Amino acid sequence: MAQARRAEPAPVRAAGRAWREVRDTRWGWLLAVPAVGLIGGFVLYPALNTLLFSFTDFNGLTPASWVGTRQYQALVSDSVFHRTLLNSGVITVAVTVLLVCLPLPVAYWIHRGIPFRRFFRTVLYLPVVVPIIVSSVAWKWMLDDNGLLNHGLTALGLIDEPISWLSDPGWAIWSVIGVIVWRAFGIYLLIYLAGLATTPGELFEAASIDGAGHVRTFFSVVVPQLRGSIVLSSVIAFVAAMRTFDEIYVLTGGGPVNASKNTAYHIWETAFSYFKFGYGSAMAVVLLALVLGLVMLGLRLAGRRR
Amino acid sequence: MSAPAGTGRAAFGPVSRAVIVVILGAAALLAVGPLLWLVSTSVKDRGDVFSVPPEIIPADPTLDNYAYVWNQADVQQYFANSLIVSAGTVLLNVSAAALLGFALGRFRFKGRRLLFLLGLGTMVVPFPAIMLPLFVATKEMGLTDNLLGIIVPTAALNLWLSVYILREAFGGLPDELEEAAVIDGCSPPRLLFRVMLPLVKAPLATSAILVFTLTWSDFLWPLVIMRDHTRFTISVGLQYFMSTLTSNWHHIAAIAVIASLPVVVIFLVLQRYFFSDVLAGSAKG
Repeated sequence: MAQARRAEPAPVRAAGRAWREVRDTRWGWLLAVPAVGLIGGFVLYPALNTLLFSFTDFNGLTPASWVGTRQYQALVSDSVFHRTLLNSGVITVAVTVLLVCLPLPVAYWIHRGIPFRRFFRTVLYLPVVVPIIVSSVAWKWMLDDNGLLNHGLTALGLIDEPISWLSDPGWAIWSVIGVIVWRAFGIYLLIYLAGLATTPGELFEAASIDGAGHVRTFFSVVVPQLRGSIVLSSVIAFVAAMRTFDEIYVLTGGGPVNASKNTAYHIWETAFSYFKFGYGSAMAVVLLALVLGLVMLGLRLAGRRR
Repeated sequence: MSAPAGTGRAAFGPVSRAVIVVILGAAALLAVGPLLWLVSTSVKDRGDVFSVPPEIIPADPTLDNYAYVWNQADVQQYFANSLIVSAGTVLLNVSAAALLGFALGRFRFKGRRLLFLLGLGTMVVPFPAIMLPLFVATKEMGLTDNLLGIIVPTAALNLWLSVYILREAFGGLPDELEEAAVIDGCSPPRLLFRVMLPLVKAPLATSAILVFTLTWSDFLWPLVIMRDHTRFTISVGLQYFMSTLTSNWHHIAAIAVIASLPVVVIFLVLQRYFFSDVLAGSAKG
């Protein structure tokens, strides 16, 4: 892609320049109207309204009254909310680390050429395309007490008793994490393959001439070359993990007793099961601040070490 | 994904190749195994679903479950709703994104960088954090239990994905095209619709397909705003079915397969759009 040329105006003769600037500004903003309207009306306006709601006792139906910072004070001593924050943290750290690291060697193998590479690429991407609810249903069926996984593990002699993957408080959150990683693996594989496609082949040639083995080539050529892709993957995985909802909804319903409930799920429940829109909005503000703050911090750190 | 990159000879020796193929074979099995198990369950009789040991490949497969669920409940309605919602979202999303992508890729105007960064920032906003006011606004507009209530917000939430792809595409077209058009006295809309749009068909298709699959899979928002179950999308319908038929796994599996069919077919037929190099540039930005 013509990276260098992007955003540069076409060469213009001196006489045409002023006219062109007027034309560009007028048309630029005119063409932006539908997009700006959509983003403003359906993302930015609700984001600001969340902040407004969080200072009220709104129940979603009847007019609300202003309660100041009472909702936030309640959050400070709400142990369920604290538990959901902790669970969001566990899910997000585990999912981000696994999704950023696991696809790297696979991308390297596929890029450097192994038999059936197109087949592997297609099959590993397939779970990304299948609707999340469907793959969650597939895994609920796999992870059932009488499910295929327990049958398989028992048959292999690895376990004596079936494990309650979804209803054991110790396992539930890890089952959710496993299903998320299983589903999204292909996205990150694709990002790395796209990054490797723009890496000059001579780098691998040079490493090979220098006598570097695959392990050294991987760490001294592939990882540094994919720096940008790794930062991108980290941001996408982090943001996606923080808003996890569907998998929890289908697999565990947040249970047993909040063991796998994250903040996103708790916001939904607080608003639509208990009709506490004000309280849910205070949680939403915390979630929004955490995500935006950590993404900005992460990008700043990544930029500094460049 | 053409010839193996790197040295002229094979990058991996025969032993490494065998080991890698075995590892990837296991990964591939893990990737499709649960989905194939669902397909297997969907063609079994009620009696065979819980058989011990499990029947991996059904001894006498049947399509009865599909016939049953397709005619029961509102499965056809769910399917149609999902089609309308996904197509409508693509139309709105890609139209708005094409206009802005053209402006950002070709024109230099004040505030364009700020606009782009602000839009990119919206991709980072976690949906559950803005969902409550969005629900209230949708209700005030009378769009709950209305497919438009899904289409418009979903088009907005995924807008920058398409804007990003199309900005790259328009920005990558040769400047000579624009110069010639300007000398001919061609107005910007003419330049967009007559000259440039036909040249970015592949990126347009890429964003359309991406947005279609994302919308088809969407669950939380349709779950929140649809109370009337004739308005459910297939994902919401599937979980509704599950909550009412907890033990009928052969029927649940059949609906799940029906729900995946359109996107899986699109993926297998139009793979080149999924693996196109539009993502390559995004790591540099």
